[in-house]
Amino acid sequence: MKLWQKTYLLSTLLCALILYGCMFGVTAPALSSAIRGAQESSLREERAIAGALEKTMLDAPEGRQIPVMQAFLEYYAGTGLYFEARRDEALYSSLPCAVDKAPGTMGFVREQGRLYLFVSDRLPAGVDFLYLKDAAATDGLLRRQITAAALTGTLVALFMAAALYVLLYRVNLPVSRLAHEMRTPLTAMKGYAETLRDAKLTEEQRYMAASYIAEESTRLSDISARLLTLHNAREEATPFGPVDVAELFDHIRQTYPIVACEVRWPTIFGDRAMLSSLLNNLVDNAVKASPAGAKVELRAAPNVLTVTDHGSGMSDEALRYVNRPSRFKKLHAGGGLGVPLCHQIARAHGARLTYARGADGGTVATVTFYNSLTS
Amino acid sequence: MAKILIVEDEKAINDLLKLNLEMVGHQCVSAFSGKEAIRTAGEQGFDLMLLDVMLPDMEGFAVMEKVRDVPTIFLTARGATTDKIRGFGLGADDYIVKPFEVAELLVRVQAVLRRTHREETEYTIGDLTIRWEAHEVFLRGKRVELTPQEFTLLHILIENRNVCLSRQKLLSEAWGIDFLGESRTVDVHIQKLRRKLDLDDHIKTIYKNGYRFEE
Repeated sequence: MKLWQKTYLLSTLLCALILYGCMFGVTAPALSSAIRGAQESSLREERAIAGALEKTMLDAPEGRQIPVMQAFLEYYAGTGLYFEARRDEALYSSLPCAVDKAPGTMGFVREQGRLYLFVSDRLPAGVDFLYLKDAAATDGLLRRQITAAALTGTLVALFMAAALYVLLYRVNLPVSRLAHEMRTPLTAMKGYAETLRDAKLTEEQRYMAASYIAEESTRLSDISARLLTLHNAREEATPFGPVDVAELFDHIRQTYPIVACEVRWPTIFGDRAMLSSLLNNLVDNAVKASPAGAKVELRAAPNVLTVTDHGSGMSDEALRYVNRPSRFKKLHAGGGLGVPLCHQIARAHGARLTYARGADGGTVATVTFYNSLTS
Repeated sequence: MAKILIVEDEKAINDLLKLNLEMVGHQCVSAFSGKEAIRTAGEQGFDLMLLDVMLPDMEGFAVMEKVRDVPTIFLTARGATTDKIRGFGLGADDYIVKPFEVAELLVRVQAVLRRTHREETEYTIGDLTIRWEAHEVFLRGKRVELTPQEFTLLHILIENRNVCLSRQKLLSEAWGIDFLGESRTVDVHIQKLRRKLDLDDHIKTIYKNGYRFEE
């Protein structure tokens, strides 16, 4: 497993733990106060009923106390309340199931899958009185609340895990891909250098080996430049300063002599290395797209840089892709980070890069600076 | 001389392998994708296949499953142990991690060819004939006695013909990695070989580096 995946798993686990901990912390007190409330109201109800029962029994004529008590309790049938009265033997019972609790206790009891709240009491007349209330409604409510909390927690955790994965993947992947990309040129260069040193080669073979070394070292320096710029673009680490546009353009013309430059915007506020890399990429693509001998135009108007070529242009689909860097990466998996990199540099400068079709069918790349601090 | 199939999508590396293997006298065929490799291996017989694990169209391991009866050394860019375990599980004979040393590669190739008995049994250059399995050397039809050390040294030089081997490399290959000898030892044995077998024109001293057997 890669290091970043380990980091990912660990941080996801930690976040999930914290999340569930918080959910528990919020839900548990609410649930326990709901339970306490149900118990207190039952206790009050039981006290009221027991008090009334006692009074009724006291008022009843001698010898008729038990039938009166039975009649009194019968009154509650069908209300979800059940009672049992016993003095040595059962005097009255409407319990749906057998419940045996010591007098002076209260709590919950689950019988045949149904939750009941009981209060066991002793009346002054020496009668053990048991109050039983059907708590299925409370039970259902509590279950629903717990399920809802668990479900919400899981959904949030999943969402968080996915977001974190995408984030870490995006931060880590291009670098690992570039590091991997470096292996090939390194292997080739090392191998050809050793061959040149150790083997008896013909002139032709020597030329081939040396050409490969030169070619691969270009590739390597290319990758290294990309890594460096990627780092800068990502970190936004380098402090911005005024960049002389004319000097920037001159530098590019040294590499690409066919570029025609026009400077009507003297200084850009930004990072010189990044801007140079951006223009290099844009011009490089434009030069590659141009037919032999055609000019590539590089213009700087206030807040806008444009690179125009007179090539055969891109298809509508390709244009859509280069304007959306995230989709471009999918299209050209492993095919370099040129265009996404350009977008990233533009973004770091508070600018936007757009590609469009030029008047003669070629391509115009425009970098528009929105919050430039230039004079 | 063995016939070797090189399966590697990077042209630079494919050419590098081919250049060096042809240098020591092997015959090479290049394939740049998994499908091409499977097709080529189906058409011709090979003594050895060098196989890159990461091919554009399929994993190298898939090629290994399809091409069964050819000894295989796979090239892996990752140092991942899972790659090695998978490769050996499929019956690979050896692996080489990129970036590799050319001399290392040649030695490994020879070792696999020797193990799978696909190396040459006899070698002739000028008036000199060597029968590898019998450990016999004939110069102008007359048998020449060589010490085992001299024979091994000669074997390594000829296996890596046209490629320069450093004294250090020769020491570790011919005397074993633990041998605490001096590079002078190599020089002495080379002198003896040259004298006994009349090889002055073929065993060349490469300035500041080592020796090279040239045909």
